Amino acid sequence: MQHRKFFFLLLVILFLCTGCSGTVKNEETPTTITVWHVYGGQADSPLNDLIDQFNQTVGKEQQINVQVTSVSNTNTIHELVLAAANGEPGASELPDLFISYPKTVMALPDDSILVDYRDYFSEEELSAFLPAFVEEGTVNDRLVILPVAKSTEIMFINQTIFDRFSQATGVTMEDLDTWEGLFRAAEIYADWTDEQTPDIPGDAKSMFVHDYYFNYFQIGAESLGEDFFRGNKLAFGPAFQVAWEPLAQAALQGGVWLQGGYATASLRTGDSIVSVASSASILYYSDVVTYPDNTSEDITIISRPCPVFENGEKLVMQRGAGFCTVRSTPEREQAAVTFLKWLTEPEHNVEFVTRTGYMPVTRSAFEDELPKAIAGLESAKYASLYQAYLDTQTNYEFYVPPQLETYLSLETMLEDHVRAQLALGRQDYLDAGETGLEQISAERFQDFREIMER
Amino acid sequence: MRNKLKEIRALNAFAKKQSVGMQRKLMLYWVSMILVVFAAVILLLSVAGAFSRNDEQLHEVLELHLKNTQDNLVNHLDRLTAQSLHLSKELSREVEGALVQEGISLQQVNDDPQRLLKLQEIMYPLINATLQTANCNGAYAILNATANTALAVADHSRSGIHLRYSNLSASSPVTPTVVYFRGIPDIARQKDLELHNRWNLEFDTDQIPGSRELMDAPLERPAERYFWSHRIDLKDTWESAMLLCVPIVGSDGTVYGICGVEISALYFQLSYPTVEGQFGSAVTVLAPVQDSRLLLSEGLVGSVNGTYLDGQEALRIHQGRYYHEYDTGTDRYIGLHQTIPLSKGEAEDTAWAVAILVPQDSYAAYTADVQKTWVIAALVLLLVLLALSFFLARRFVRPITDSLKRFQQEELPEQGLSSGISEVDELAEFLNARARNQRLEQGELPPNIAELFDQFIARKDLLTEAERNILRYYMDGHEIAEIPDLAFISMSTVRKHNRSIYGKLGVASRDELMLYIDLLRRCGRLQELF
Repeated sequence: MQHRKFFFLLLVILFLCTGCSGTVKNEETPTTITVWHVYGGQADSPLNDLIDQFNQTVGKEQQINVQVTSVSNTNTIHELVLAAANGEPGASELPDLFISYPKTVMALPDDSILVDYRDYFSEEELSAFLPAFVEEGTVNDRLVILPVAKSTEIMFINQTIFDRFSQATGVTMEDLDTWEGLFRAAEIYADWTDEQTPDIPGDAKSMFVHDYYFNYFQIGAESLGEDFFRGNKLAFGPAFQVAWEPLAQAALQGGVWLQGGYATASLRTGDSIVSVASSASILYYSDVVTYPDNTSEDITIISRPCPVFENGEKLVMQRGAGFCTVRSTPEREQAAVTFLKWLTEPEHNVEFVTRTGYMPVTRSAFEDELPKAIAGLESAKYASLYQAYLDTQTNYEFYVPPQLETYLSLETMLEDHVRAQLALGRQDYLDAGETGLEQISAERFQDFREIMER
Repeated sequence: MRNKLKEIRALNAFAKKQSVGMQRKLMLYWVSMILVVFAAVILLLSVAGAFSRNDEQLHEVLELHLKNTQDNLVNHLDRLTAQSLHLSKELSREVEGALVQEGISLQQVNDDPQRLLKLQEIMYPLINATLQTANCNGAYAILNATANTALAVADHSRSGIHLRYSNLSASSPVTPTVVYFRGIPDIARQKDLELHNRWNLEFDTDQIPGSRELMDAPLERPAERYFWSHRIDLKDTWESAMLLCVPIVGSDGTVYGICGVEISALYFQLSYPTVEGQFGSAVTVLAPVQDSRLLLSEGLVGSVNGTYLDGQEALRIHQGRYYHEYDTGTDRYIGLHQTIPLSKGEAEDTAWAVAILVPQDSYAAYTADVQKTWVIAALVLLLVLLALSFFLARRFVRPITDSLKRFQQEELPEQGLSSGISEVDELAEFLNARARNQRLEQGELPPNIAELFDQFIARKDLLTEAERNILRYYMDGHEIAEIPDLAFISMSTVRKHNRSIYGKLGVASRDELMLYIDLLRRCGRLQELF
């Protein structure tokens, strides 16, 4: 009897051994997580550098490998995420991490595909973030967008050319502090450039370009004490008209750049010299202007706070998307969160934001690390940006756009049609022999409003 | 040393003198036999290659994977070359047509932005069509002309168009955004294209080594000479790419410029994902081989999931029997590579290779796992064999020890009681026989005969007084006929008593009775009957 027991025991041990060796789990393989982000576009991406740094240090220790599979813009990512989430044919597989505004999350068919960061961050860890930023990332009571960087709108000026213009015409940089002054300057700039080639009429150059006319009208209306939205549509109150007129008049006279694309492109080719854009676009402004004859000129780009209306409040857009983490396996989610925690540590966060033109998101980064980082900025362009940032912070109130489902479609529509109508107006104005400015402006506004209210 | 040997020998001799248990000795024999057989099996298995099977298996898997990847990649690059050659022909036709129409040569386009714009307007649709139809992420064409020959950069600045996709992602080939990387911005505005963040009006041909040479020498056909550039960093961007450079050859052999397609590091990474296998993640690499080094920094690396490759390494190649080892200095990879022809008509032909790389760590982990299984299985087998030998030895020795025990308790086994082992039985019988003889020598009766006597003596108590009297007459040697006179009884009474005596004493006849009496007398036990 005893023998039988002995043999049985041996057999059990044997099976256990073979059972153990059957489960081959390779401990050496790192967990690879994929990222779609917007920091850097087609230029050098500081976030990619930081990701490399993470992979070589913490990533190696914890066997996490972060791979960037797309550096794009938020609108493209919005489209890709929605296509993927809706399972549309030909859609990409969602990455583990992507950059998103709340509008993308709100448009998702089911936001439970995203990780609620409260599952991975303790209350204490979350309290390190500025509360307003955490609030902004909360959709349907779930913290699904983790803030990593915040931006605002800043005015960028090609100082080299502006100084020439200023000397010739007496327009000063302070004139650009108000929208009214800025558009007057744009009209003068158009005349000034047109006069430089007397043999070619109507070749006025634009002084100004706005990246988001939607923001111009939104902030404009709100700063003049009026609601920009009514329900899911635009309100089109009197303040909208106040914002329209100086813009339209300058645009009809050729002082405003109306082609599509980002403001950086027209500054790069010297087709415009002043822009209002996200502070984050600092990365894309080149220090060189290249002209059609392939000559190029080194320029200085400086930053100033965003202009305001003469009778308006000092209000400025606060922007900045955050990281969403897609639900997957606990290891991958944990790996993604490990990376995000690393990225939002004050030291790394400040390194990241000061290279991309953003503001950090945690209190200690703001208070302890940012002043040091600003003091140590070597690039005059970035120093000027952060000076403008600090001025903005002291003198302006920040405006956070509402979470509307129609926000993106309204934005896209307004951007397209404002430019199209003003470009048509410009053509009408040239065709009419540069007369009837106010009438053409009013007609275009009417057309524009009709299209938007359709 | 010698002393030690002596000591060991002495110890051995002493051990030999010591008496060793049979079971232990038997087990010792078993164990040594098992160890010999075990060693022989291991030897046979290793000779037969059972332990190098991992390497062979890896070799087979790598070879197959390499072949597939190579076919795939060569096919991909061939198609791109064919499409670029086609683009070159189309561009040549269109550009030549435009030049002929204006009655000028390409040289006369220099310093004339308007004419350059016109040429680029003609070129754009062809380049765009190539970009849209080819499996690449960029297409370009460079004219051997510049907008301003007076500039210091004029000798390496050339006009042209370079279109690239900007939002590449792993599986969204449907709606990539085209950005305008190089070229006259008017075209971008006409076509509603975004200028690349690092747009430039013209190409810097110094960035594309070999492009100048290609443009400067006259050729008959574009297919005569073309090449893939090494991976070059796209200036001021985070991307790097390889460019296929095909000459745009005019009908008189003048090279108008070069054109081709671009494969960026990112595009290659997305197109060639890692293949997860039992040995680890296999990464696809297309890179030049130089001085037995695989230069990843000059080639393209597929997706590196599961490894720590960053595409900048120069891997030293160590050739092996089943696979090669690729050493980065800090990490090691194993795999295979195969050279493929990429360029044509180039003076210094770089040897390009397709390679499959697997991290050595993950393969080592895999083989360690297999080895662990072998070791555990072998140990378990050994354990089982030892247990078996213990069990068998015990079973074998047990009847002997049992018998021994019985001997010790002097319970001599009866004749015919078998122990199951003939030798033991024989030994027992032998010992019995010897014991019996000893006793007989000492005058002792054999026990069964003694018992017979004892029984006979015991039965005498059953006899009556009269019967005992008659028995006594017999013992004294009287015949039956003498009994009636001696005992004063009739003959018939004597007979009656006789029957009774025979019955009680268990004998059949007077002769048997007399035999008992005689034997008892001889043994000296006759008085016990009284």
